[in-house]
Amino acid sequence: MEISIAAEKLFMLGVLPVTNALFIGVLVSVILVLVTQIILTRWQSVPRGLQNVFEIIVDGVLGLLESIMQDRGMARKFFPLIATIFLFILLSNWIGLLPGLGTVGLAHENAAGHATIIPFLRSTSADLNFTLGLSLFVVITIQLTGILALGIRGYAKKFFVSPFHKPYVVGTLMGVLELVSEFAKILSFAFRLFGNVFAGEILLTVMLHLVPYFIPLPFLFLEIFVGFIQAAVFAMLVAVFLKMATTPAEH
Amino acid sequence: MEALANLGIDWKLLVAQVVNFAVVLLVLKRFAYQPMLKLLDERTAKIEKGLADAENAGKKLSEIEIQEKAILMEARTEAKRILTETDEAAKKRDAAQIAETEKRVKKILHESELKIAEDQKKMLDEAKRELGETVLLAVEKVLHEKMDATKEKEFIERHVN
Repeated sequence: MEISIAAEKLFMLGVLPVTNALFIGVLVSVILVLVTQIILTRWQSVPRGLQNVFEIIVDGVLGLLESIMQDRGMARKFFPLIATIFLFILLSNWIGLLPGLGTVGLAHENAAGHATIIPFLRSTSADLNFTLGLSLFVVITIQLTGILALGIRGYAKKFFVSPFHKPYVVGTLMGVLELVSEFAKILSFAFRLFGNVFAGEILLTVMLHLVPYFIPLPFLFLEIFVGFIQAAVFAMLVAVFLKMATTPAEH
Repeated sequence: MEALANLGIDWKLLVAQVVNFAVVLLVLKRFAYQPMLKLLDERTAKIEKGLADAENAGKKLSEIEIQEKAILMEARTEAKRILTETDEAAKKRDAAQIAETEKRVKKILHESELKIAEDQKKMLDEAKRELGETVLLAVEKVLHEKMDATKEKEFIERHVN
């Protein structure tokens, strides 16, 4: 049993080291695009089968966004981003739970000389490169949205508050705190998702090594649930932060 | 940087993951969400239109029912009116006819009475004349003699009347 925080490298593509997590990330993308295209080409006015599931997701996400943002136009504008985040994380979390995780892979000798395998399957969310990259992408999007909605001056007013006005120094300190929290978002987004999914995978591996049959099952269900919750939390937080970024400062 | 490397963070991989996600986002936005939202909107519009149509149809139906009732009522009163009018007209006409018939019958009766009276008189006159002639003949025969015309007439008149 070998646990690696970093995703394992499968092969090199030019200068890019292709890891199992990146491989799964691309696989998830392909699956998402194919499934949505299949649903669209077989679209019926009376929904059936997979189309139902997708409509429920689309309707649910859209309804949730409308209730968070209190604005139909804004909800529609950010729907693609939120829905893609949710679907991508959900699928990559669940793909990591497939049986055979960590058992099919390339033969490899580790540093100590033991023969191990590099698994093909590793949830994309269990790779900090993905979670950190996504959180950077999202936080930058949030900042840009705020600036576009309020203007640079309006947006800056959230963080730089004159100490000579009503709440005096308190307002200034709050502004600085807000500024720090914007940067903290990058880390909290990245490590929340990574930590939950990576911990889940370790938990399942450990349970499988302790008791191979039946006992890991409840943990598998737990991880299915956690995978959904983390995807929903990530997407919801992005929606909430987007709404907060477009709301002007109240001074 | 050492800490980042220990966590497995490699900027090349990070960029690759972000590019992968961005591509999926753009592709899904262009080829999945927009058409899907359009289709869902179309269906919502269709359903709303259907519901509105159904409601309108119901409203119209009740309106038509009310109208129908009104028209029926009107038709019924009209029919009643026409019936009574015809009835009255018929009664009036009957009365007139009866009166005329009565008048005609009276006239005919009167005429026939007059005619009968005349005929009687005529017959009586003729009978008188014939009687007179017969008496004259008989007298002639009895008397065997011929009287002259004046004497004869005088004689007849004296004996008959």
